[in-house]
Amino acid sequence: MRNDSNGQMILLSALAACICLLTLVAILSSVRQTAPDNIETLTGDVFENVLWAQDQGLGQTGLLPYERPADQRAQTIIDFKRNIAKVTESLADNMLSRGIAYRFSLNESLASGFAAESSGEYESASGVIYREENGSVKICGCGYDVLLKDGSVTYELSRMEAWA
Amino acid sequence: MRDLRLLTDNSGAIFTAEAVLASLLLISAVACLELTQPVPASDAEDLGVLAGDLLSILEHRDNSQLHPGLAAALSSPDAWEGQSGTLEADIRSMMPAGVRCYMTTPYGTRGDCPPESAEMAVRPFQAYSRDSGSIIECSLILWRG
Repeated sequence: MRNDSNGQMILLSALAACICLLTLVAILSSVRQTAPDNIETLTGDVFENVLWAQDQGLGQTGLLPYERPADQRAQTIIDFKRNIAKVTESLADNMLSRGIAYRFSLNESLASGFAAESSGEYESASGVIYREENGSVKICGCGYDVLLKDGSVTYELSRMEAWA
Repeated sequence: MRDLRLLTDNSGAIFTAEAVLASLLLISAVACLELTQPVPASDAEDLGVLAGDLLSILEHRDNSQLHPGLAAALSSPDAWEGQSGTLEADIRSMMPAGVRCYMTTPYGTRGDCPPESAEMAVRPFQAYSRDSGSIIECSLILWRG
């Protein structure tokens, strides 16, 4: 009789253990099913698209006819910076609506390094590359730092973008 | 003495049967755990990959009259009006059978609007609008139907 009781206790213990395990499985499954799986995260594809749109904006903005004489290069660069602010601010707004922070800043050291290597063809100021052409200033590129961050993933890049 | 030995043997058999039953229960619990492993990539995920690849091609290829690039088509409302039809036809030609596309932009939409019940992949993307001098938000939706 005593041995039978021990056997029933073992069986009951096994049953209890199984119930606990099955409950755990059910809880894990329900958590997995209720987890949102369609929230877009910051991926390499998103970063590539942002860089593409941003560089399109920088290039097109740089190619605008500023038509200022060479002695007004500072004002030309200010105009260019004002125009690219429109591009980067609209991009920051769009990304913010998707829960992604976007930060853009011109990189003076990259631009001055690029100008130094050009043997006098280009000059740089405030991260912007320019050259004098037919008595006026032509914007040719810029060095920049860009950051995208969504709370868990961060993409950062520093590079030169030249279009002319 | 002989009776006692028989009784002990029977108990052993019962213990063995109970242990086997307990093992079966545990194995079934483990099998349940295995069944909850992540499922293979769904159709929506496949469409998402396809949308990403398609977008990458449209962004980086050369712009021509027969194959307009995304940057050119989205540069202004007039450009969209003139080139979006060709762009849509071009996208259709690159997609596998049964997959449809729908593109939304601030200038308008193109393609087949997906029904709510359709399995789809929505791929938002940014593009530069030369017309406004700012970045516009668009999306490419691929769905099966």
